Amino acid sequence: MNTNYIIETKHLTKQYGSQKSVADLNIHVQKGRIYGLLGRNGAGKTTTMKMLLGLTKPTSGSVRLWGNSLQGNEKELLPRIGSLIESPGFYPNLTASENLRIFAALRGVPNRHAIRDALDLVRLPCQDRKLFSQYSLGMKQRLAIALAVMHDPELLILDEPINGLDPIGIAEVRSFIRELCDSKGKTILISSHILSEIALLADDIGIIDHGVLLEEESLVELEKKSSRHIHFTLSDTAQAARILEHIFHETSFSIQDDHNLCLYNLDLPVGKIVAAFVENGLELSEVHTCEESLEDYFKRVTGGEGIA
Amino acid sequence: MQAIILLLTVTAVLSVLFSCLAIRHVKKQLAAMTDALTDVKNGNGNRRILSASTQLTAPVAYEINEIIVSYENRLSALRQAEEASRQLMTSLSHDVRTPLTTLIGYLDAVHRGIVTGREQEEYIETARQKAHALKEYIDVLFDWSRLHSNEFSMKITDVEAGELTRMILIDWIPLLEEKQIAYDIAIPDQPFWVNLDPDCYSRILNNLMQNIFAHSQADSISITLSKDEQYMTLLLSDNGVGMEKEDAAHIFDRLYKCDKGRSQKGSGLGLSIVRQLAEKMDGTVTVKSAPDQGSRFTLRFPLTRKQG
Repeated sequence: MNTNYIIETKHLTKQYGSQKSVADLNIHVQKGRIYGLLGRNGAGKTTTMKMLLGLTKPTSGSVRLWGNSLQGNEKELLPRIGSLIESPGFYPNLTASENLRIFAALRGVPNRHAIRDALDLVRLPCQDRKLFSQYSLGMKQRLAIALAVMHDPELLILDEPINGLDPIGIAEVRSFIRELCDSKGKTILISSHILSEIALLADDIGIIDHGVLLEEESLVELEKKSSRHIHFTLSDTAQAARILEHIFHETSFSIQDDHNLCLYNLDLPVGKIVAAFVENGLELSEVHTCEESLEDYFKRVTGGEGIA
Repeated sequence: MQAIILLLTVTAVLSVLFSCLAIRHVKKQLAAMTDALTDVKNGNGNRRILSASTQLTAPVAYEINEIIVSYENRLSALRQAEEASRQLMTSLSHDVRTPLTTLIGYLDAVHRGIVTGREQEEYIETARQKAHALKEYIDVLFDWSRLHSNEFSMKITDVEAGELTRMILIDWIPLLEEKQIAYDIAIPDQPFWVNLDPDCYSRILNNLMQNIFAHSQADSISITLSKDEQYMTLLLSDNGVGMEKEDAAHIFDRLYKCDKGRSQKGSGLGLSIVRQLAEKMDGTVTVKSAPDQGSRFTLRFPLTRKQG
């Protein structure tokens, strides 16, 4: 068992009647990283998150948090998580800080100024007389985020946290999530149906469709897969580089080692390049073109329907 | 009398009961604290002890949390520095390998007698230029690492920036003419007194000019020095290819390159050095740009004297 996994699910399944909402899901969230769960509406993201938080019981399969089974250890494990699932129940006739004070008394906080810190973080005023019922959708969402981070949890589970926020709010939330991960070492699981949002934020991506995990991969690997280039495997990259530069006046390539070279200009006549290589005594063992954008890739894995 | 005895007995029994309950409660809290502390001892600096502020153990819990947080902050700063140097090493080995291998390609061709006569001389000249470019790259790298070490110090003095700017730009004119780039340099005769380290200031200007040469593909640039009540402003604009807004926002970040994967041109450090040097001298550097609309770099430093 890898103890670096903060969240690990094994064959997690949730069945409503005959409908499998989540089927045989195995996700692995590593410590100190942002994991993006990407899927269209109704793909099973929220159900998965609810099962991780013990809000709904799995039909079969298991959830392990910090290497311990969630079932039976809820009391010890759940306080270490901060979550945002749909909209939490706030009292409409109380202010933001009054609402948070109730939760602070119920759940406990790590220090005396936790409420003020949490409100500062989401840029809500601390001494505001405004009642929750008078809040806009965006402010309600901010307060929900404040509640999720108030007890300085090790793990954050955020279901579509940018819903209802304006573009500036989205950028703010994005940068503070990044900050939590980079400078505080928190682990974060975030869901979204927007590819670009996940691509901007996540370190690892899980693609879920109709309750099934189609792909789980780090963003770096995915970007490598989807970068547009021509890959050459040949006997001498130094000579290949000289030929590219001297004959084709091309400088946008990178050399990986003695035998592998990536060319980034796809407009060049590959046939002529290969001919020039061979003419100069190079042995070519492989040439292939990669030209699939990240979006094309997602379309392909999700079966052509697209995610955006 | 009997009533009093009864009352006393009841009170005694009740108080014993209450203290038993309180002790049980505190015991439970202590057990939870011990659990959390064991976790921290095993290296999990993100763990917090949660406590409602009314609880008996709250002051102790909050105090311990504060200690954990302060140590964790220091550790995470170290981890980030480590990560930064790891990234630098990766990109360095990548950025040095491609030009160096290409250089070897030319020299090997000469060595093996693939080329002769005039072409051979050409090859040697190309190799020589490449060696110089590599040295320049290493110089930039050295600057960068010096900037991040404790040895770095500036000699800031009150200098007249107008003449200094003129002296720096004069060295660029031959190159501008050689590349047939039209230039319009407007530096008024009035003095601009600013607190600067002249070496660092010329490094800033040279890096900005270098950046225009390497990336803008401009055929006309304009450089204007001006001042208002508080600031001197140096504006460098070109009519080149410009860049996307997203790129402009990150261009001063370390290792940021607009063209991902195309590592041939530049180290991704030049502009990062510009910003860091400017900020160390209380200045700012910003850029405005759009694709095909050119770029405008603005450098601002506070003036030390108003007039004269």
